[in-house]
Amino acid sequence: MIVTNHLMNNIQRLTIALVALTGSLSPLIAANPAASATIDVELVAPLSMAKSADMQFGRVSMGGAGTGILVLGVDGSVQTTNIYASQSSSGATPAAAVFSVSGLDGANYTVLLPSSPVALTKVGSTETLNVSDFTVKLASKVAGTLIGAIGSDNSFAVGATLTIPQTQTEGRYQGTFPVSISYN
Amino acid sequence: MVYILLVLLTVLTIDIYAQTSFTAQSSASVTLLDILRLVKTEDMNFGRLANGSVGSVSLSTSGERIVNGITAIGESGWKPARFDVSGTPDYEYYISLPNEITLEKDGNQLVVENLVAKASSATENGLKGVVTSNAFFTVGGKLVISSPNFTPGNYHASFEVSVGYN
Repeated sequence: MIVTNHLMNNIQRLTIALVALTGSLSPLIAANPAASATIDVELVAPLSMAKSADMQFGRVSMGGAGTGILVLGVDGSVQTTNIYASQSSSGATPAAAVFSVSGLDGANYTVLLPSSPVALTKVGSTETLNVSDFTVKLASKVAGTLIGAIGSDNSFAVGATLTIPQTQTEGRYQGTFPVSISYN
Repeated sequence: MVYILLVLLTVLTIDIYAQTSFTAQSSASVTLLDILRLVKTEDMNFGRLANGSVGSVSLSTSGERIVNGITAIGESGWKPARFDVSGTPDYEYYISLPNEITLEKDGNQLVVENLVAKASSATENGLKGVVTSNAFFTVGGKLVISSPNFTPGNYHASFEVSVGYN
């Protein structure tokens, strides 16, 4: 009986000791720390572009001894070399191409013009003329600036240079050229 | 005879009693580690994207933004999340990340999946790091844009990560 009592006492002490040990360790077993972060993305309206006006070099006749050159400015002005430009040709008034742009207000975009000459083909034939040296004028920027902002540059004009060899036959020449824009 | 027996019993009793007073000694040790602490120091941002197409945008743990089928806008403004870790130096810790995060705006939902982490002590992505004096890890992921018709605007969510000693 005495033996049993002592044994029980020891078991109790051991238990108490274990409880005490467990109790003293509890604060050390902290929960794994966690932290939160936010995550964001902004979706914005895509860029869109529409042609408002086609490019028109007008009506010209050859003059002089060399290759004819017609520089069509972004404002529709014409400078000629070895070419006579008609000042007022019905339906063929020189004009720069104009494009309208829309997208996220305030976002910047870049205009990409043809980097190599574009051919105009004579209507009903296969003869061609080259148009090169495309230039641009964004609505609120000086000519030549290629980066605009939606809101202040919702349109831009494009000019170019037409080269006419002296032996070129008369006729109407037409072609298309690509212009693209992209968000910066 | 009876007397002798009593003596023996007494001796025996004392003997047993003496045993209960024995003290046994053993060594015990415990390593107390500094509490591991985790603090967010950068939120995650995918920046600005043009909607109208389907694709994905991945944000690497090193801060690169890689678009696939989507037009990304701007030259900055995106960043992986960053968390600073402190604790007992040289001990390894593990990182727990969510499987995916849903960003929401007006009922439209975008999902960020394939979350990855890279600890400052590691040379590649993984879920382990080692506590150093300036330990941190960054978290990247892949944003999936599954429709061209999501409403433009800011999509937002919060997410939780945790760490523990290995």
